[in-house]
Parts: sequence; structure tokens; C-alpha cells
Amino acid sequence: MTIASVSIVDKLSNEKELRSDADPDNLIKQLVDRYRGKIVHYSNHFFLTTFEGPSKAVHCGIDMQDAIKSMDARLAIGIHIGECLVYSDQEISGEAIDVLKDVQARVQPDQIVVTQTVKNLLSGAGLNFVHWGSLLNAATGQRLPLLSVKDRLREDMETGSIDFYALSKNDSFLENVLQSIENHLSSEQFGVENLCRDIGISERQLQRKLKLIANKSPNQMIRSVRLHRAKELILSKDRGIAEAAFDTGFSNPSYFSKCFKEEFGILPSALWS
Amino acid sequence: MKPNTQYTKSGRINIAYQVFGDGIVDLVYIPGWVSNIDYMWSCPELVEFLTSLSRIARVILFDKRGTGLSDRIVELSTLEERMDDIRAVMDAVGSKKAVLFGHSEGGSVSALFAATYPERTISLITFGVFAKRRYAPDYPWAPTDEERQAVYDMIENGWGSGDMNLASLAPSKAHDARFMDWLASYFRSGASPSAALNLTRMNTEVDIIGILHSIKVPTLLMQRTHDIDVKIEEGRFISRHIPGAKFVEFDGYDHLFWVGNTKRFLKKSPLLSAICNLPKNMKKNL
Repeated sequence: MTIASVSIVDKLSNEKELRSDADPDNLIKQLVDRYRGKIVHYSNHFFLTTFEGPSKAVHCGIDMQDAIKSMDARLAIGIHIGECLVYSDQEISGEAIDVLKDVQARVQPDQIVVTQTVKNLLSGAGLNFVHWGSLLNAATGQRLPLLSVKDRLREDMETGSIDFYALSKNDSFLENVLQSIENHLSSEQFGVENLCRDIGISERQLQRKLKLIANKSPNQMIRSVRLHRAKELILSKDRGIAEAAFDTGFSNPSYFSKCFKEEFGILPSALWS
Repeated sequence: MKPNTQYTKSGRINIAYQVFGDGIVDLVYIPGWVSNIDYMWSCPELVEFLTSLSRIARVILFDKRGTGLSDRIVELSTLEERMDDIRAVMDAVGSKKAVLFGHSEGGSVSALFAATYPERTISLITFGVFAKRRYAPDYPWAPTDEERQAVYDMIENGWGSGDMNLASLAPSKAHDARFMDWLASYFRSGASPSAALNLTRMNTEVDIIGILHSIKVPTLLMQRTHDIDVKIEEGRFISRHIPGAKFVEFDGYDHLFWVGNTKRFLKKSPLLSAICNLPKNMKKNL
């Protein structure tokens, strides 16, 4: 199981002055929940959490660090994957937890440090890693490399001085993009500009982020979603080809057929028959 | 007897799946690399294999996101998303727990799934599985960066064509024009050239060695001794790292399990006996 430890290591403002809706503890709980994680231990601004997979844990960590900045607090986050025993809602143990605690003891504020085991499973998650150190396993005498996480997109944005406030994790970002396109499926006028406005990020950010996680430009993405939904409509036999095209934002049936052939390698009429 | 293709959502992505057979245990087949569940049914050798499986199991086939009949809106998928796709399909057919049968890259994803969700995995069965696809001194059987680059170039310049050296996946069929034509079409219908290239590049970075010792479900690994694509040493290495895993070698050179000495594989297969010999209490209401 993927496990993450989160410490609020440095609070610059007086805790008593924080509003309850700006409580860093609350924020962490909300984000863990949003990424379908579970908090299995909490004490004095220290969290032990479990996640379904390493990508969700890392992206949750990135979001936490971004969000916590507005609260004058800083986070140190360690992530490992291994076997654990969860006894109850507040009790977890195992060798992986011991490793994670060793990692956590070394992590500095504003860092997310993962073990090599985690990094090896994160191919394609849009992240860069920098060698950061290693842990010695006393039992085996082997060293476990540690790496600090760099969000590729955030690095781009920092060098390009783009505001990344509106961005959330890759998964929900993609969900938001797909949702927005589907909400405006029948509107032929809906384009990249509308999509950016709808999900609240700049065109440049949208372009970079989509390229990174879907290998598509925004226009390709819009067209692809429309065509996939058109294909669903045709296959369900609820609509004729012209209707399906119209319902997914293609007013010109021959242009629709041409795009469909490009996307799926067959003409829509082949599906209908 | 091609089953109907159905769709379920994994997040907002449609995943195509088929379910067939009337066995009392569920088996999810996780194909390697790229796949097309409709096109599988136009290969008689594969049909024979799937039909045999369906006599003892309820078989669930699917194409992972970005490939085959599933949505190709997204061309990339992390190992985690591929696990989510398996889970989505199991949920769609009401399977609480299943035998996972993973081929090649599908074996790596199955292994991670088995380690992550032991409560949903009856047992793990793989054919031609690898733990990583990049040479390292402690895993010297994987391709070097130069060898991987040659694969990228082949995909980019001749996706699905004769230049792909597909014969190395099925040497026993190298002179069977019908089969080789099917195999090339199968890959072409499984992914676009750019999706195949991205997937292959991503697979180069994957390494599941660190999670192998966490697999605690019964595990059976199978491979042909002279497999050209994945070296037999890789299978042996993986079996040593999974507690209690059984490793079975078959004669032959084929990486594809459904060609070559299939009769022995099908009739005396440890795969079938592994499923048939499941304890009764594991079969019912899983």
C-alpha cells in the first residue's frame, strides 16, 4: 500500500489567529479525502496517510504544498510503498512504516521525498525526480535511494512566472477538461478559449499540461472527445450519423466523416451498418 | 463465438470489455502492450485458448485506456491508471475477486494489482512477465537504451509493418503469412503509432522489482525457455522475488502464449490446473 507522512513543520503565523476554514490540518484532511486517501494516524500536526497508488499520493502532496502556502505554513512530505498492517482507524504498523518514518525524519520543509520503489512506479505521471540521498537498511545492509519530486508543470510555470493557483492534480485536471468539453458538446463554437475560461487556467498552461498528461493539444482533445462521444451515440443506435454529428458539435456531416475516419480509421457509416 | 463488447467508465474514460464463459471463478485477462478485444476473435489460435478458459472460468477481457476499443482520448496511462481500469471492469461485471492472468506487460500491471489489492485477487498468473525494461547491472537481461531506441524507431517508422520484427514474438509462426498479417493488424488496431510509442517509452521507465516481495497471493509464472522478447532469466528472477511463486518453463521460443506448443500448454497447463485446483471455498461467491 502507498503510505505518505505529512508534517506541518513550520507555521509562521500564530495558530490562534487562523480561521477555522483556514486550518492547515483541515486542508490536509480535505485533500487526502479528495484523492481517495485515508488518514490512519494523526498527532500534533503530523499525519500518516494511505493511498490507492503512488501517483495519487504524490499529486495530493503537490496540491497540499501549493494550497498551504496561503496559510503561512510549510509541509514536509515523505512517500513510500510497501506492506503495512492497519489495525484500526488510528493504528498502522509494519516495516514500510519504519522506512517512511526514517524518510520523514530527514525531509525538509517544502520538499516531497519518495523512495526509489515509489519512483519506479510513477512513469508517465508527469513528474521529475532529483536524487536526494539514501537510507541504509540495517537488516540487509542495502541502501534505498531517495528522490525529491519536481512537478514538471510547476517547474515550467515557475520559470515562466505563471500563476499555478488554479491548477489541481493531474487526475482531476483531466476530469475537469473532459467534463467541460462534454458540457458543451453540441456547441460548435466551443473552443480552446472557452475551455480555458471554463476551467480557469491560461491557454499556455492548458497546452503544456494536456501535452504532458494526454499527449494532445487542446484542439485535438476537444475534437477527440467529440468524436468519441459521437461514436458512442452511433453505436447505441439512438441517433443517426447526421444527428450524432450535430449533437457533438459537427454541423457539417462530410467534415464529421472525414474527422471520424482520421480518429478511428473507419467511416461512421461502417459502425452504423 | 465473439461476445458482445460493452463499456464501463474508469473515471470519465470508457473502458471496453467482454465477459463470457460459465465457470464458477472469475478470470481477468490483462493483455500485453496494446490490444483489441474484438480483433482477438479473428485469430483462431487465440480463440481456441480463450474458449478453453471459458469452460472453467467466467473470463473478462478488456482494452486498457488509450488502446483497442477503449477511449483513446488519452494516449498515456500510468501503471496506476491501468490498475484502475482493471478495477473498473471487475466492478462493472460484479466481480469481487478474480484470478488475474497477465501477459508480458499485462503481467507487470497484474503483479502490482495483486500487491495493492490482495483482497480482490484470488491468484496471480503470468506468461512472459518482466519486471523492468531497461538494462541494469542487477537486471542485465533487459534491453539497453540503444536497443530500446531501436524499438522506438521501428514503431515510429513502420508501426505494424514488416520492419517491426514481429516474428521475434512468435518465431514458430514466422512463416505463417496469415498469422503474421493478423498480428500486424492486431497491433495497428490496438493503438495509433504515437500511442504505441508513448506507451513503449513509458514502459522503459517502469520497474516493479520493489513490490514483488509484497505479493502474497498464490502466484504462477510461466514462460517459454527461449523467449526472445523477455529472457527466461527474467521470469526466474521474478519468481525468486515473489514469496512462494511457482515458475514453469515450456519448450519453445514464442513470447505469445497462444502459438507454438499450445496443446501441451492447454491440455496439461498448470494455468488450467491452477484454476481448477483452487480450494472450493475460494471459488464460490468470490
